Amino acid sequence: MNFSVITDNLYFLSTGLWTTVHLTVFTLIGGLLLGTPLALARASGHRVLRLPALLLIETIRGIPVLMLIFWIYFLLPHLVGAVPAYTAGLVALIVFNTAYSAEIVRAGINSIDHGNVEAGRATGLNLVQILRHIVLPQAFANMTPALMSQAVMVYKTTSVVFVIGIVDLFRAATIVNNREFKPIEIFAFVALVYFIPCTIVSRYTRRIEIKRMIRHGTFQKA
Amino acid sequence: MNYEFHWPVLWEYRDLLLEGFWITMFLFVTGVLSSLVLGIVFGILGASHLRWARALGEIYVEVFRNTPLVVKMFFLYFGAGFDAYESAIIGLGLHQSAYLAEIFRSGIQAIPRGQFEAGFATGLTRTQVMRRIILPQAGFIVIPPTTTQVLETLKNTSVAMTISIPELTFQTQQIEAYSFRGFEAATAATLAYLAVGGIVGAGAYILEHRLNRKTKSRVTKDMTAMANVTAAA
Amino acid sequence: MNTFFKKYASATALALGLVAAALPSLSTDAAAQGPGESTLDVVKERGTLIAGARNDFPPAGYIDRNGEWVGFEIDFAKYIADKLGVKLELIPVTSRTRIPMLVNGNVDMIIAVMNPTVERGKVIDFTDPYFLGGQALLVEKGSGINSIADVGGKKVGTVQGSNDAKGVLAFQPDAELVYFQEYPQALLALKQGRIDAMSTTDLTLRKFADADDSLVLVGPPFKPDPWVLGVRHDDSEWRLFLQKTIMDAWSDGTIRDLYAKHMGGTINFEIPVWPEYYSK
Repeated sequence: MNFSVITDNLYFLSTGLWTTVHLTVFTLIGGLLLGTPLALARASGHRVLRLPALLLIETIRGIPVLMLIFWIYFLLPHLVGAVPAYTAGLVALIVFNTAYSAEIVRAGINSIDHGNVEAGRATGLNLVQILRHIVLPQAFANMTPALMSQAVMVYKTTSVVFVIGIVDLFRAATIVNNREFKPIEIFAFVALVYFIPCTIVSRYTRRIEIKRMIRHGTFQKA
Repeated sequence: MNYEFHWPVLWEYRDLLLEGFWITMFLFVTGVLSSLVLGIVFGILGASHLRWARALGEIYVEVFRNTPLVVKMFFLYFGAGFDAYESAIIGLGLHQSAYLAEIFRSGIQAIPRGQFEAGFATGLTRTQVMRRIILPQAGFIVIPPTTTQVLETLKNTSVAMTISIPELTFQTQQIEAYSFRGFEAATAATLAYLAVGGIVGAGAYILEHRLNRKTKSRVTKDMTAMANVTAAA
Repeated sequence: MNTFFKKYASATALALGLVAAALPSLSTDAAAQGPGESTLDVVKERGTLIAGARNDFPPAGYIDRNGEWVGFEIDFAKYIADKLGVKLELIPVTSRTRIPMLVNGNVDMIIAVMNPTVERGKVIDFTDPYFLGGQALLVEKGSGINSIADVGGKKVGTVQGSNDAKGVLAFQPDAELVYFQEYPQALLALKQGRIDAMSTTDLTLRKFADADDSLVLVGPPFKPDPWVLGVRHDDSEWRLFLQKTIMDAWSDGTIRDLYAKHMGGTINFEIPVWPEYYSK
């Protein structure tokens, strides 16, 4: 094993990693921004809002990400004209993440005691105020662990955008390997770059969950 | 949208689509079976009262949950000397089982410890308590998140296309390459994924409600919610 | 709880700001083009030629250790940009993405080791060839494969969306094709013994063989492999310009020099040029 292949190509690999990182960040932000209204529609009492939201979420969740990427990649130009592969990949990831984020936000909303909403209504708050001051703050606090798990999921999922030619970390690695022929070293390095941040975040998530269980009295020492 | 759909193309390429569909089904079934077996084993280890077993379970979950599936498949195929189908099935099995192990672990841990003690008090051994009291209840709690993971497995079979397996998603791209008629093929494949996913989801729903009536479990909503949160990971 | 919400709100505002800042980079690459407008004018007006090229395909187009684009086609694209007096911007394409990216207007032209085919001709137009490669096979040493005839029943790796698969089947219908998403993966599979041969243009395969002693190129090529530039339909002025630039490059020795630089040795064929170029 000779890891000089990594240091020799560090610049190009880091440009790939940078692409992976901003794809991840934009996907998380986009998913949450679009997922929150979708979750509210899904959780709403109006059938006109609830059913389309449900259909949309379940459809997106039922399709492989790769399929979604190909769909967006070939569909987007017909809808909005020319877009770079990066945009198509990002839109596909956001669509994917929106459905998952919506379910997380919905679970967060459902986790709130209905009495709080009633109390808000009793004190004369309107719907928007109830959402803003009572429902959403508690919901977001409750779903922090799930959102962090979703961040890990998105970071890993970006690795399939290479199929439409986006030079993310994974594709940068295969390009380097094409010239250097060191698959073991290169893919071991790539696996680590995915593994380390994911593990840190998932360990941290677990700690938050355990703390919360202790607070709620549902934690038992194994 | 200025695209004219030309549906006969699906009939023209039906052999490719059908071949892809059956390969996807094959990967799905083998992937689910292998991940269930591994998931149960490492889930029980993770919930063990033995320190080393718990550590083993945790390491397994972290290692296989925190690396992308495509990287695992590439490693197995290009590095470890497995052929394409072996790599796909092992890759899927390792990947999904890490999520399942976590679900099973928290499912077992969600059962109040008092039940263990009650079991021992009535003279049952640890294995008997596990088999007769804990696992049936845990099984009930874990059905919804397990269903989610089974559906994830179905979708993740498509990653096998990157190691040259001509499954359903691959075939839509093959048809696109031959005829530039990707939309028709993608529509058919998407409907196929949704249909299979729908059938699996409905099956799990029926199973859960059957069990619900039978067990009348005392498991609180909170515990199910906890297992669900972990499942979302 | 309210402070938590405030934090969330400011995070959202920050996020929106980031998205807004990133929007320019998400917008269209090649400018939208009115009907009947030539890409030639669009490129000149923009001051940049946007070329779809390969970054995974030595020696035609690849990335060196400094992360720079290099290769025969990359230099040729620079030559075309110089003729136009504009800057060059390179967009990476693959066998799968190059035609959609051209049709959708992401790039002004394709320069990506592309063969003309009737099916592709229904979607895009081509120039005459600027280079003649040949489709060949790359195998492990001592594999017993000495010609395309020998791959009957053997696994031959190629890339989904490329024309190589049809080339192999035309000469050996019994070959078992294995499709990868990209050439690096086909090469890896060959080196790991997952496939018996891989097939694409001979120059690329020779480069792979030079870099690894265990691999050997099976020659001579079994099928001619003309490399053409791709342009959009109904873009005659642009196509004529590129056509003339290709013949200029042959007349003034550029292609010969680039061949020597990237492939090594002397070029052993001529491309027929149009009558105006005979005297040069």
